[in-house]
Amino acid sequence: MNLTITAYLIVQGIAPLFWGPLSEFLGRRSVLIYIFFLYVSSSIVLSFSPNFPILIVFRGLQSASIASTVSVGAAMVRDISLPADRDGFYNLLQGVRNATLLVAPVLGGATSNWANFRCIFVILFALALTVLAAILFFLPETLRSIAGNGTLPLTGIRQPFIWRCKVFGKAAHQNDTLQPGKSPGLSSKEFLEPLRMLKEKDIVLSLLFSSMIYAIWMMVTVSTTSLFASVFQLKEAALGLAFLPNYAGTIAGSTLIGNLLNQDFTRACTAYKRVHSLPSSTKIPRHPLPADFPIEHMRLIRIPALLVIFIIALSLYGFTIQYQSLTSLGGWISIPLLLQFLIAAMAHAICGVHQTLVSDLWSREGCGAASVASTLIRSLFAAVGVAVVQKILLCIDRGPTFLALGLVVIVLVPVQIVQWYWGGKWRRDREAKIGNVALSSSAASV
Amino acid sequence: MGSLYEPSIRESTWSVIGRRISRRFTTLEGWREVGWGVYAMGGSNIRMFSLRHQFDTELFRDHADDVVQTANQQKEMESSQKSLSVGEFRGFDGPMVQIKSDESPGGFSIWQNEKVEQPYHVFDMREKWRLVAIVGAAGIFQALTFNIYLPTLNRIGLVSSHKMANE
Repeated sequence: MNLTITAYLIVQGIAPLFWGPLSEFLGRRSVLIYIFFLYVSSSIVLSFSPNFPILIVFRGLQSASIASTVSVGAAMVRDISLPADRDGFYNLLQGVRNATLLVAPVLGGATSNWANFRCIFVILFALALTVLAAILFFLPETLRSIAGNGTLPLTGIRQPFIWRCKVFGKAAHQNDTLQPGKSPGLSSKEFLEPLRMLKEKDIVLSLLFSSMIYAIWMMVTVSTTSLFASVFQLKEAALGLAFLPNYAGTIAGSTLIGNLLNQDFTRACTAYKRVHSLPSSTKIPRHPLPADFPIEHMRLIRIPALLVIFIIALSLYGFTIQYQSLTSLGGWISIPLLLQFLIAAMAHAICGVHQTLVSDLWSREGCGAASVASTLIRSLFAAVGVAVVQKILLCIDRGPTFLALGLVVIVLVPVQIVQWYWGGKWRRDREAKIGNVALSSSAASV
Repeated sequence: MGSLYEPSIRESTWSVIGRRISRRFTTLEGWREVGWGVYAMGGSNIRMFSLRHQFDTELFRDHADDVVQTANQQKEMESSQKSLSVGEFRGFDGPMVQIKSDESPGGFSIWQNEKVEQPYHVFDMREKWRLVAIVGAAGIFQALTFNIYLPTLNRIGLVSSHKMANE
């Protein structure tokens, strides 16, 4: 039922607004413990799920609890290592995530094929309980205002249980002569920071466009289950496998755009240094980039190609599953799956471009706010998309539905053109304004 | 175009990690890169498509990570680094550019003295990897919880309508 997905996505968008600041205030370990406690509790209820309303509510709770684990994990990596050493740690997190994307639908399909679908929640419960135990016993607090660089003594909930048993571990590096660290105060400003971004024209355009693309990808993904079951008579186990090309596309698209963005940045830096006749050893700071750096052009240069492939694949996709005479051909299923691969790869590449662009544009408070804001908008768009896609499919057939979505993307192309030509001007205006504010406030304080 | 073998370029883009076939498999650093990515053949060069630079909305693998830290931590971080980077303002007409200083070792020896006592973090590599492994295991659930559910949507639809009818 798409209603459960819609509820899940809405909560997933909103929850990071709270978890992010809380992890800076209560500490990473505490927040992870709360997260997994909530998750385990909601999984217990879900493994009974006696009726539909309870399924929706506790699925939402599950979503709320888990929405920020990766961000909290990345924050812990930042706590314990310098940028130069982070690559290895991030690679592990990324690899785990990619593997999960591929395993999850297969596991879900197989489970519900040969057992009750509630077994899925039992599996999730068991896994989460294991992780909760690992966190309780082994994971120390790392928030630098509380734990410093690892030497400040940890107390109470911040201390992993294993440090309390003198047999197994010692409180490794703690210097007991130091005072325990204090958590910083919590202000409502931090909760609202991501929302302040939504006042900026160029950022809103970026978020609007990429969220629309993301929502369309989500519509394709979620509708896969019902469409492929009815068109190709797949059972759940096979349906789980049918998600593989889509998620392989997700991984491929992210990898592609990660490399292209790095390449474009290096090239733009070289060009910038040549124009300003700076020595080639000059290091141009990533945050903030100089005001006359062509950020928009550097980032958006890849969009046209990605968008053309996306629109073509999307418009054709519906028709490849519309006609019985085609779909009954042997091996025909590989064609819509290939198109799904392309749709997923291009959608994630486009979203990657825009998210990088937004984090370039909002350089004031780091990238945390940019990430939270785009997750919020994306998830809300996707929630609406998932809610309506079933209705559209009922009203007009499959082919026209996805063709219409392709037309929607074409209608949105002017957004990108506006951003290409006016984005730089808006950005410089904003930065000039911020500069003035900063100047006047410092003058006032003097 | 900068030199293809300038380290910063080589590390950050895939297209220029072209290495002659002969060098790829006969030199040590060629072999070391073998595990990093997918290859494409082109002429006598093998191009490598690195899997190490992937965009991830959650992880944000650009160089922005350190910006989140407070000024205090920034200072601490800089002090623990061997090389000092000196920020320089180019006035209003020019851009703000950071220039790496090439000071002689004697130039920052005074700084180093206070730094030795304060490493950025005291955990050794084993402890750090253990921490990251737990965090990674926790991170599984974000993708798992949503995607494990997708293939079952039809069944949940059926079950829920039956239940609702029964109750």
